[in-house]
Amino acid sequence: MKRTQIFMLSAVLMVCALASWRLSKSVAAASSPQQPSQPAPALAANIDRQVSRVEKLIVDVAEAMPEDKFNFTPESLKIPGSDYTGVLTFAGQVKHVAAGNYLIWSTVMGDKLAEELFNDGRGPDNLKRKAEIVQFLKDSFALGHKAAATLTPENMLQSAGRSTRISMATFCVEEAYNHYGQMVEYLRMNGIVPPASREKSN
Amino acid sequence: MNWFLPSLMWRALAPVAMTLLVSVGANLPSQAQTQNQPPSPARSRSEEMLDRWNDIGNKLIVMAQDFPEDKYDFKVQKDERTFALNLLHAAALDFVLIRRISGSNLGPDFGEGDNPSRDLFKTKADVVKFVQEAVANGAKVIQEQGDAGLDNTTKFFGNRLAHYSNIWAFAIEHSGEHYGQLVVYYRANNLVPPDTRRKNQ
Repeated sequence: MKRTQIFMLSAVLMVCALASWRLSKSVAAASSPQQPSQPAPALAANIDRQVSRVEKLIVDVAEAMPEDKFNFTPESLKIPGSDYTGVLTFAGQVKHVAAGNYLIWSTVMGDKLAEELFNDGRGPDNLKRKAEIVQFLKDSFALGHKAAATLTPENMLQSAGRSTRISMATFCVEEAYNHYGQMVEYLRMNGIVPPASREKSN
Repeated sequence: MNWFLPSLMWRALAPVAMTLLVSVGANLPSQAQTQNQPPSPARSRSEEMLDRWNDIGNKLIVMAQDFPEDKYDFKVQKDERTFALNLLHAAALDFVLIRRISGSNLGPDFGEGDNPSRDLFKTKADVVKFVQEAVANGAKVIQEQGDAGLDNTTKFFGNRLAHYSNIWAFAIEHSGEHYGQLVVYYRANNLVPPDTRRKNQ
């Protein structure tokens, strides 16, 4: 009888201890705030993130295209029923994005553009090799980061070209996405899965 | 806002490039002539955002209306979306972001991936209507929330807070990417993208 009482008492104490531990754990969880969200970045940082996003996508597709395909254009595929006459080559797309970056980000900063960098949207004619073209692209995005850093709530609605600085900045990134979309198609036409799609399927 | 050349209108490069230079404020005579005119009033931030939203949204709507219905299931390569599915995906993501920003249940929810099935949008008219609704709803929310709304924040991509302005920009960029793909689809069908036709007129 005595042994039974000791056993029962031990069991009750164990249950109480377990309940107490679980209760304290749940109270601690409820009273400590959830992991705080990271704060939203300021305007300049916001635009900078946008530049970074499209920069990574476009630099990655440029790197993914083999050098011997850099002058690829869909015209060469002679797809029945298509007409790609005179469209940009892959290299032309990359240089065009970079030239546009130079033009628009310079405008956002109120700087005068060196004409040879834009060259009617073609970028410098002397850039032929993949490494040179990719470097030109990267340098143009570096200017984008520099321009983004100058944007503040006070100056973002200032006139730039026919529009405002903030609108130009948004437009520049948006247009880069347009060309990214075209470059993705050029890659796929060569049997290459765009790097961003590879990441998603992994 | 057409100063940055779509690449596939390269044939018209020279004249458009000149337009581009004028637009971005190079010191050309046409701009000097307007210097004596009173400047148009500055627009608000939300008006600027609305302008960009409508610009790319309307480009997609025009493409949706313009592309032949019998080619709606065309795609350039096998492992990618058809013309119609590109449009549906862009509009579906718009609705996801509109719902996040507005805190409402606007538009249908297609779950992970934002890839509506063509079974739900069988005709060209169905697709056009869906894209139109996405663009119109987004425009309405931007207008209703105004400048103050752009500074609100919500969780975006995990546990990071983002300003609504950044989310709108993301939606605009995403539409721009799919617009670029559809430009290539156009040419594959011996068609000139509507925006290029407009600029060449």
